[in-house]
Amino acid sequence: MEWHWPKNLEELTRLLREEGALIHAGGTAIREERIKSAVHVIDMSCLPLNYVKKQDGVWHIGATAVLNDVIDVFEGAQVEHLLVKALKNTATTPLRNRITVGGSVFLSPLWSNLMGPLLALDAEVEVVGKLNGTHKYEDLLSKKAEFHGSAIREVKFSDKNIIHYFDRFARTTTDYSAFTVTIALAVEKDVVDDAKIIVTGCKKIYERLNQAEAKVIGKKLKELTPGDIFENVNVEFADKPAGSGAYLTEVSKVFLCRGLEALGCAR
Amino acid sequence: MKANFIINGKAFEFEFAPHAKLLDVLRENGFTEVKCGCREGFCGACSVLLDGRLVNSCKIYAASAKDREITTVKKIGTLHEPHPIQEAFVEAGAVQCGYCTPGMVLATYTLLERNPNPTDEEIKEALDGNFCRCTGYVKIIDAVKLAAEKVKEND
Repeated sequence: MEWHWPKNLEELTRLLREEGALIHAGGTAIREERIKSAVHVIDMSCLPLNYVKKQDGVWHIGATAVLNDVIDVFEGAQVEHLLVKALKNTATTPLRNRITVGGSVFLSPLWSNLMGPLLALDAEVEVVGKLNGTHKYEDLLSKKAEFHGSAIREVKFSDKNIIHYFDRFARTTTDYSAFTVTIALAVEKDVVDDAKIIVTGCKKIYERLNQAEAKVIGKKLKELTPGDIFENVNVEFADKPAGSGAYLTEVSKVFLCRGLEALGCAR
Repeated sequence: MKANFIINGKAFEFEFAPHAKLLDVLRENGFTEVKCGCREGFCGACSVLLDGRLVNSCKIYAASAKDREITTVKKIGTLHEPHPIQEAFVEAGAVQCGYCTPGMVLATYTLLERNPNPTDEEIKEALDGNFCRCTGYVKIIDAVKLAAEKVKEND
């Protein structure tokens, strides 16, 4: 087995063509057995992809930026961003200093808390290798097998003017999330223009609550009643250490109502 | 495989298996101040600074840290010339079994570098990846506050 440290994207692209290549974005998720069984390990840490920047109203996050880089840049810019709330609830300080955005987006584990916010932000991924080009993050989640032989170079999303809510259910502060709830609303003159309501950690990888979104769009924020909007919502969960599937369905409903209330709706 | 590292300001070349973790490579080469705890990135006993940032060395492949700067607690201070943070830990009674202390000291060091006047909440957040199995957190938080005072006096 051999480690490689490509210095530029051309070198990375060439290495991705090798049989049995494993991409190591620099984080903590790849298990020792996986490293042992790889023929080539491609370490991305020498690539110039450690950045978090805004250009022409679009945020660009390089694959090797770590979670705390994202928090620092948004907090430094005094931006109350949906991602900050999500990432501050992810792992611990030393792990957030090491877990990369590229690895977290490619693997999209529930514990990274990124999935709901990135879906709500209509994020896109820039990829090199087999599928070289720009792809919707949603497509990466739904067609993950097709992305093997590709590496994420960057994640990007517009700097949208939204009000947002993110929360996760876990037994303790340092526990893995059992589920996450993300609500993002574009509001114009107190009327909801657009809505994204997403639950992750459920039986499907994630659920976008289209019917609830339709009930919200076009309505005045203060006239919304969360109990009515989520009345028929029953997100299905498998049994988990944090609770039975039936229990998590109920708790997710509580979180959804709590989220809309937090965004200014009447009880 | 072989790789170079800069550890506590000195250059080293180590030989190790391609799947070896940084924790093991450091300990096998005499840096036993880096403690082995859970091996899962949970407890923080194995904390080191990698290019100045607090990380869990048990979760890092040594190969991916090649040519990088690693700082262990021994760079911060020694028995005869302790750092004000280490003095504060002793004075506040924050050291019980001592196994978590190197990690706690490094976590405090990175916190105070970024934020010389941390609140209790900020201290808890900065030390969230360092577990004290003796559960001496009250004294540890006292020690971090005392260390903040001492570091300011030294500056």
